[in-house]
Amino acid sequence: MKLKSIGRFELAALVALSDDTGAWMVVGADEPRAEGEELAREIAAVLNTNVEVIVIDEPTQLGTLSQATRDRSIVFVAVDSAHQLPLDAQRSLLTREHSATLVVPSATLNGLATRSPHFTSWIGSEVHVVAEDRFLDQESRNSRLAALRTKYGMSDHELIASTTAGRAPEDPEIAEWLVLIERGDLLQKSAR
Amino acid sequence: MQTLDPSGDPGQAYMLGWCVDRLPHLRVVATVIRRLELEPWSVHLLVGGIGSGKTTELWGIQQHLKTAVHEVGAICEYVDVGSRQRLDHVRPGVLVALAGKRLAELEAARRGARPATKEVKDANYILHALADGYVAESWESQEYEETVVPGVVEPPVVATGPLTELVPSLAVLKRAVAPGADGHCVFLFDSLDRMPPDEFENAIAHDVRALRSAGIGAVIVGPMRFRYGAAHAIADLFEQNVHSLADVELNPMGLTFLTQVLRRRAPIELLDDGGAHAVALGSGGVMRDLIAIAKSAAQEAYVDGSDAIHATHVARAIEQLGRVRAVGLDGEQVAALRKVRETGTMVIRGERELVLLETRRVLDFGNGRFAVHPALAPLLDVMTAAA
Repeated sequence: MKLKSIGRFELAALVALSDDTGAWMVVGADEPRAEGEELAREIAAVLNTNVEVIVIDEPTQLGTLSQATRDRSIVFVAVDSAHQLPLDAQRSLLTREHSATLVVPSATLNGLATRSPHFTSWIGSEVHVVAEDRFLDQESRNSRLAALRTKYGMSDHELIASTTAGRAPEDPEIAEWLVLIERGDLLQKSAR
Repeated sequence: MQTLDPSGDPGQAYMLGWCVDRLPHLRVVATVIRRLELEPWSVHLLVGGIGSGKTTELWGIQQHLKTAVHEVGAICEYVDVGSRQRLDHVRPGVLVALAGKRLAELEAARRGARPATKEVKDANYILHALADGYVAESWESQEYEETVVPGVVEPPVVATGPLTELVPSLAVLKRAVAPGADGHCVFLFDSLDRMPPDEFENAIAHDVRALRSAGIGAVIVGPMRFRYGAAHAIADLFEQNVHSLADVELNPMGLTFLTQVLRRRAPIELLDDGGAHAVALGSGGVMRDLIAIAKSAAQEAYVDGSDAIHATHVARAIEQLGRVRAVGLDGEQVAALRKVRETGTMVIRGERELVLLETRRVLDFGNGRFAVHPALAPLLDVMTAAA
């Protein structure tokens, strides 16, 4: 049984949606380091802030690193250390103010529940794999765009005009919309 | 979204009124409190499946003891051991040291500007030495030497001697903050269920006895595996004060309770009664899964651009949780799960069954009744077909 793949932009939107709850998300990827960088860029664009990527080389440092970055959204990448992360033993130290996304090799997900049943229960359904299939990615993107156009009663062109004129609502969904149509450059205007 | 966060702080959720009292027959709180009122020095072990709501029960015990016990000076302190000590480094003395340090803080706060008695000063010194270590001075061959003796609390992990020697110091501080023979002084030690079960008893046995001897009560959350094979051995240490927290059964009473919990966290405009009922069914009665499915359903609604959670959102959320539970299952486990689904029971022979229980793929409703988690059960056929 495999997890359903979801697009990177959708993952970033989910991270942003629960960013202020300090929720954790685990993401499986074939190239965790590259995926971590890509995801950090997407999350940064939606949250309109910098998102740092930290590669965890020493597994026992997980709790300390999480505490040190608890006040901002962060992307952790674990490759060789992924199997040794003390996710259960250090779970109390993983409580955060802002979200954490942990990117690991896809194969690591297979043993996650058995190795760390407490952590896996704690994060609920937030275990994902990134869609490799661009068609799926595009399909989800179009579906989300259609939902946003309906909700705000605007076309993409009207959104751009409204944002450029500084009239767009100050709403994370507007930021997400701009990123989806690859006009993240207008985020500063929408945030004003 | 904060109200629908399975990783949220249960203490905060309790204080904000997001919790609902458990059904009478499932309430561990009432049983523990009755025992603690009769025997304030009793030490209790609380076990239960992961995500069953043990921490919330601890907060319930604390609230009750703080408000309902009328004695002046009743103390009930929650300690998240995992945030103070690496759980793979819990050794004899850690619980006594953490309790001792907290009692010293409470005593200092109560005393205010008044000077401490010699007895209290000595007790403080001894317990802080245990926790944080100290410098031992000695003369060897007419040479003065200083030796650093590490404490038991992180980072050093070496126990420094029999804990029975520390009981008088603990008792001094306990009397200072909770006077009288029956003065309630109870510590609630959370997180120890995440310790390796084979290390748990050795790590805490001496502390349990020391706390009891000093007249200090405690409730300790322990590994869920003590519900099974090793239950008899650990029960003696806790003088049979072992409490098992069951999941909520999916009968009409249980479903009403689960939907009430959701209603505290999600307004009817977001999640209507039908949706809440579906979420409750999909949770299998596991409290944390209840919140996780509701959160996931809210995310599905968000992606759809909907302001309300509809049946399709709940269905997708339940499937997502089921898929997370299914990842990594091997053919043997799938076969075992299918058997549980067909028979409604499971014989626990060893590690294979314990892992299925620990990872919440199988739920234990007591009296030999087991069930595959309802989010996972429908996927078993797909997995078999794929194989």
